[in-house]
Amino acid sequence: MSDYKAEFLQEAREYVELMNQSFLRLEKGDNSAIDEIFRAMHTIKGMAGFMGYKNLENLCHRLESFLSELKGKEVSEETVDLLLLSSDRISEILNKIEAENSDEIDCDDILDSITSLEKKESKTCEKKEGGDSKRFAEDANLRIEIKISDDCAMKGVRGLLILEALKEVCEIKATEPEESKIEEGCDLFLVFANGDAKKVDEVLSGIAEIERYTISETGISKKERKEDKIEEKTPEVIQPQKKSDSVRVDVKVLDTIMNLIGELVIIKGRLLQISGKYEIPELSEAVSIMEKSITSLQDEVMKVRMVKVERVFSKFPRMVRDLARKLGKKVEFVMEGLDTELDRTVLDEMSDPIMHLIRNAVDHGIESPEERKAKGKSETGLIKLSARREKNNVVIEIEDDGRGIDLEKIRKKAIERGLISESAQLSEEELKNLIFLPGFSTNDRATEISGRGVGMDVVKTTVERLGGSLKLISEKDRGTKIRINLPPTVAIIKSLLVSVGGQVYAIPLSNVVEAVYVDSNNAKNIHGNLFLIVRGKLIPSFRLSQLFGCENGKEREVGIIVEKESEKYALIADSIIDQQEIVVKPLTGYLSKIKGFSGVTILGDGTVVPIIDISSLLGGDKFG
Amino acid sequence: MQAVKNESETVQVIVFRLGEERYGVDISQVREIIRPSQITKIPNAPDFVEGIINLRGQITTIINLRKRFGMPPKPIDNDTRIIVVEYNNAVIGMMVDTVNEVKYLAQKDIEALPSIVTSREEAKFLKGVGKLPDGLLILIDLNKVLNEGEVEKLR
Repeated sequence: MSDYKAEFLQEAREYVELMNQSFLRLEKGDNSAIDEIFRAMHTIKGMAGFMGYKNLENLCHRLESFLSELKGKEVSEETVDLLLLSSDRISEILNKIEAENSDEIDCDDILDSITSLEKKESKTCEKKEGGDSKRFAEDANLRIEIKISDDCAMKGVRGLLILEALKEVCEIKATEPEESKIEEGCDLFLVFANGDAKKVDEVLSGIAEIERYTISETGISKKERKEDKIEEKTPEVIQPQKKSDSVRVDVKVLDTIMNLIGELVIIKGRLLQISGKYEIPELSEAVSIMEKSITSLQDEVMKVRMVKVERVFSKFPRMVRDLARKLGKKVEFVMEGLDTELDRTVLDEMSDPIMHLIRNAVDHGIESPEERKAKGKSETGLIKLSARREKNNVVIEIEDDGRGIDLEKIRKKAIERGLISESAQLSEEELKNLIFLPGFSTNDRATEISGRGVGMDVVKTTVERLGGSLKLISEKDRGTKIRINLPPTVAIIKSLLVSVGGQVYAIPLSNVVEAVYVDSNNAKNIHGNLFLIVRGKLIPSFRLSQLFGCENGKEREVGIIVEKESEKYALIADSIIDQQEIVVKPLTGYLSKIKGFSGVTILGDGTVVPIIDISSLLGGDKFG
Repeated sequence: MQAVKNESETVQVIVFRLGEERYGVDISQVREIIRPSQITKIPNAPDFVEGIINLRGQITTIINLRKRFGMPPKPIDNDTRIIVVEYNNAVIGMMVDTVNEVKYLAQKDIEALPSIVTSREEAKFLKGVGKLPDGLLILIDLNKVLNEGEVEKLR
């Protein structure tokens, strides 16, 4: 049984998550959410029953019947609150099951509230009749779900033919949608009928262009029917068995596969070099075929690792709602670009930082309704979380229309904390960046919300460690926007190989804007600082040989223009060697905290090459 | 080689040289001994980190033991060796002047160092002194050479 426990917990948690999302939709008046919640609740109940967790089963059962009463009705805020409370309780029970293998958590309060709410609801509004199909369904003993395959050319005709065929072996009571709708073409429909399941099965299995079908018997004993009405509407078979083409894979397995592919990519480079050196036609051919396969293998695995941001984003609406309530604020939370894909590791790492930023937006950004009214804004604040693909990067933005960042407050705080001197003259941009310093918080009161231990500095470090960048745009009383730029993946990146003082270094191509030759015409020393003039613009420049403390013996150097937080900088190297896909290997132990490098890679010839990390290389101690 | 009377009471040590001094490490700490290959320097790394190498596909940090022990550096020559140890799942190489031999050392011939020496922070990795017929041998614990806390202080 313990084998199933982990699986049960995981699945149940997924359903709870699903319910949480649906509750919020329900609150906005989307009544179709009820069905989803109902299904999820029913599944949890079924699983809990199978696992022998009576208490959980009981709670779910009660909620389920409560939900069935709600179908097609207006749902009050009170009800949603109760539902949210229940889903939290289910989570608690699940946690207890995981820790102690017991589901004994007192749920009487919830059960009582349900009963009292039910009484209230029945007083205020008349119970509506269920849909036609449902009434008929009570007389039917079979529930048949049919899915016509997507490539079927005339779905309407096929649907009718199926119904005709069924009529020969059983008595059709009702269909959902109605028969006329099926005739118009509809690829998924339900049939409620009286007849022999075996015969129906025989008929259906003989019909072409049906992708899948499930037949469930809805026979229910009279005794149960008396106790609760919901059972009779729900077939005995818990859910139509979805035919699934996917399997669950442990993330660790994926990581191992990714590492192995990384090794393969390195060896691929090595073999390419060898075959180039010896020029054996057969070898070259074999190697080039292998190269292709490895490249596609790599692409596929990268795809597998990509997940939709929805996976992490979906938990935020609930959080914003609860938080706004607690703080007495009105917040509308909008999410965009949930389909945007991001490497699993990147997304998981970003989960906490994004959560922190949203909390900040609710807690510090959005004003109280009164304050907003006084300012002439609408009482409800808006927070927008969006993700989108931009060139090679994924951009995540968190935007609010709150009070914005008070630069004077930041300045005072920074002086107070000894981060800057009193006389320091800082530009607006520099002041804003102060909030990313460790140990900085403009919040005077330590609230539950901000006391989570994740500061803005952690957000910034995480983003930069992942090879991304972060920008803060804020205007007083207009709002704050934080833009995070992330590479979609971290394991294998495109890079520019440059030579500095006889050693090769890699610069991630995502940072590189362009490259120019450096000569006495465009390189200027201004007050001891080196600048490159590119198309009339002065770009602050750094000689890599100086940063790395080695000699440069080249007469003609190359300036590589890179972008960091929307500012351009030039890195001057001796020469550009190549552009290559490289596998990032992290630096460990002594070198893990080194500034200026994000890792190393192994080239085809076996040499180890450090990968330059622009943000920490140039980040320096700007304010220190 | 010294005669071995009681296995359980002897330790096998790898003897290496740094300048005029002879050192010994317990063989169980050592994974392999290699000749230095192409070492990639890492700018801004702690002074005693020589760089990194590709050891059969594994990135290996190389530490210059001379620098770690505060001795003047010496250019790499034909005798230079790297002692590869595994530490906290990371593979680390220690560059030494030369590796001479493997010796058996009886427990009775190992003398602990006086606490006035070992209590000093920079001498924590000294395990004791081995007395061999041909002279003294400083026994060191490579794991203590790699103490991360010390590294933090050094930086």
